[in-house]
Amino acid sequence: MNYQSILTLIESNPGMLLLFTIIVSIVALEAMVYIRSIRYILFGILISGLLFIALSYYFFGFSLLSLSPALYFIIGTSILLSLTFVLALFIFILLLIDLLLVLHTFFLMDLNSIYTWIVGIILAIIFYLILHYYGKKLNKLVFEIDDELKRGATKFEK
Amino acid sequence: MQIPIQLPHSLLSIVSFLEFNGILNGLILLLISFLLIIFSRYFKWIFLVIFFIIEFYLYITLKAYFNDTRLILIGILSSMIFFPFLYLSLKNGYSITIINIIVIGYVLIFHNILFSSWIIFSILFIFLFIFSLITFYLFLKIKRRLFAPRGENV
Repeated sequence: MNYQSILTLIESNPGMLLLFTIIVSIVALEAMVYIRSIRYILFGILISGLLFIALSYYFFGFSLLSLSPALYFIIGTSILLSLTFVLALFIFILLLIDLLLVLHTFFLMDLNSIYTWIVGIILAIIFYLILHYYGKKLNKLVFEIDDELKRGATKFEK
Repeated sequence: MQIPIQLPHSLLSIVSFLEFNGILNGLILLLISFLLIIFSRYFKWIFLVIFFIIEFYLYITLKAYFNDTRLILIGILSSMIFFPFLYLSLKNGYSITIINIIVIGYVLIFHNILFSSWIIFSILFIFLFIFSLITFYLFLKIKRRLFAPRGENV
C-alpha cells in the first residue's frame, strides 16, 4: 500500500475519514488531559522500581551479573519519560495529517500546494489550542465546583 | 494465613469478570463515578482508605506466596512509594478519569450491541463518548443542586 492508494481509499470512503477525525480528536483530548498524569505515573514507577532494586541489593547482596535487568528497567522508563515530552508534538502531527486529509477530501484542495499546508497548519494550531484549553478546563472542573460551593457556603453563613 | 477473598488477578480475568454481568457492572460503575463526583472534596480520604486496602491485600498475597520477611518488606515498601505519584496523577486527571469510568460503564451496559461488528463499535463508541460527557455534566449539575446553599439560585 503506497501513499497514492491510501489517498484513493480515503477519497472513496469519506465516512471513514469522518470517523477517523472524531477518533483522532477523542484520542488527542484524552492524551492532552492525561499528559501530566502519565509523567507522574512513569516517575512513580521509576522511583518505586529504584527502591525495589536498592532494597533487593541491600537484603540479598550485590552482584554485577544481576545488574543488567535493573539497568534495562532504568533506561526503559527514562526513555518512556522523555517520550512524554514529545507526545504533544506527536498529537499535533496527528491532527495536522487528519486536517490535511479533510481539506483534500471535502474541500478538494491540492495536497501538493503550499496554501493547503498553510491552511492545514493554521487549522491544526487552532484545533490543538481548543483541545488544550478545553482539556485544562475539564480537568479542573470538579475541584473548581467544590471551591465555588465552599465559598458560597461561607458567604451564606456570614 | 489464607487469602480471604479471591479477586481476579489477570487483565483477561478482570474483563471476563466485568463482562459476565455487564449491565449490573456498568450500572455500578456509573454509580461509582457519580459518587466520585459528589464526594470529590473527600478524595484524599477515599484514596487513603483504598491505599490501606490495597496494601493489606498485597501484604496477605505476598505472605501467602513467600515465607521470607525481607521479600514482603521489599514489596510493601516499593509499592508504598508509588502511591503519592498515583495520587498526584489521579488528581491531575480527575475529570477525564471519571468520564472514562462512565464510558466503560456504558460500554459494559451496551456490550452486546457494541461488539457485533467493528463499524457499529466505532460509530456507537463516538456516541457513547459524547453521551458520557453529557452524563458527566449532568452529574455536576446534580452536585451543584445538592450542595448549593439554601435559597440561592443555581
